[in-house]
Amino acid sequence: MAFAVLEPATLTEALSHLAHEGDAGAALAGGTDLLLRIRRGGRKYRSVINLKFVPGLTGLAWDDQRGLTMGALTTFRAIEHDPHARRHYHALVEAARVIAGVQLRNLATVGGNIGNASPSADSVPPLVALGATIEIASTSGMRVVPVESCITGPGKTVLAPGEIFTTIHIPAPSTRSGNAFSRFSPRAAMDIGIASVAASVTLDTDGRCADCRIALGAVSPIPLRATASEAALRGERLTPALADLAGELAAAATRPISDIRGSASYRRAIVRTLTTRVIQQAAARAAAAGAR
Amino acid sequence: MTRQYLLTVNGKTSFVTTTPDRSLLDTLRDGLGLTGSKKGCDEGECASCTVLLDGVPVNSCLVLVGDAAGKSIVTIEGIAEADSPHPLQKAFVDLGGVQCGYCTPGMIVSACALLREQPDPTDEDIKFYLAGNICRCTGYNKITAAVRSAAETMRAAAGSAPTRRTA
Repeated sequence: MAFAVLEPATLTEALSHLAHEGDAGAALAGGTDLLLRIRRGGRKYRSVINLKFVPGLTGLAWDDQRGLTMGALTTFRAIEHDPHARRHYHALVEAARVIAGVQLRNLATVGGNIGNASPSADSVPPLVALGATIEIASTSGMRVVPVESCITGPGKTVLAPGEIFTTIHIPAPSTRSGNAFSRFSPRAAMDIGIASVAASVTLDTDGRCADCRIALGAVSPIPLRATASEAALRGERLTPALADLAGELAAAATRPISDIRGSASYRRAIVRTLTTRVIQQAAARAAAAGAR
Repeated sequence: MTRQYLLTVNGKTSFVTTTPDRSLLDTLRDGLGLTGSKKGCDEGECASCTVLLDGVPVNSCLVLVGDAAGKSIVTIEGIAEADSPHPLQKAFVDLGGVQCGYCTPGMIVSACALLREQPDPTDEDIKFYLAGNICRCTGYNKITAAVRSAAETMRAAAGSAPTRRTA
């Protein structure tokens, strides 16, 4: 492979390495994508800046008002086991559980999943549906970007040279809200999704949809909000017919590719069914939360 | 440029001199002569290289050697107790969970981590936990049976309550 490994012990040191190395340096989180890319000869770097020894970039913290805050290097296995994530963010935990296998999930990080910017990144639709934001740091300061707008194309993000993701924040769920995620892949594990859907639904006191966010994965170059479906649901009672219509509207908004995993029309058919199911599940969870 | 790393493998600490871009797997196999961890795909797809890093199973092909320094590393060579095989190793042999054997070290190290987390796993728990370990021979049923059987043996040895399931 042949690259130097820099092991900064503080965030300041990490950012100064990143600024100094520029394009010749790569930030290393879990390594499950980056090391492969290097090993396959796709990309050469003079140095890899290993962020694993930087304090404050891992771990999850819950606050009743603020919601969940997690370091960008938090592993999917840690998310899977976190009691607050399991209670409030089913969509994220359901996505974490289908990523690769246990060994990979002990290494792979949520910040890395976003930064790798694959259209099929499993954690992205839940984070978009849950309204997550991400903190970006560089030597010149800090900025916050919604996860929804931080992926700009396959393999491309808003990160400028010298910037890294540091912290992800998911707002606390409102009362009478629920969320869910579902992915379709031919194999149950160690596979890449053909399509995925995450939804967050908030009901009003009459049981009508007060608000919702629906995000689709693997059916467009960048994460896609199903805004037409969301508009169709707002203010309405979520009948099976309306859930079906929302699925149809979501499918119409997609721009899927045809590849070895599935044709564009197949992906569209899958995402339609997934959307219908996922919003119904999110709504059922919202109703159950309201009944508590 | 080479560096010295202090690695604690199977309870034994030693210095290894290697370049920082090497994987833990290559360091174990070529540097320390521990060839039990297998290099199947070298890209995190097969898990035949699984080792325990501070107790949790990881693909050692995707871990840089520097990330393992100062941590506890357990390989298949450290699973057996003294001269007797681990209950998992015995069950894999007795119940036909081993055919060509290539995936077996990774399967056993992963199953060992599973049984520490869940001493009484269901078949679904076993399949979920070992989903990243690819086997091309057995069809997995005998592996699941071997893990279940080893779990029973280990619970009996630990003097815990009898099995709560009949299936």
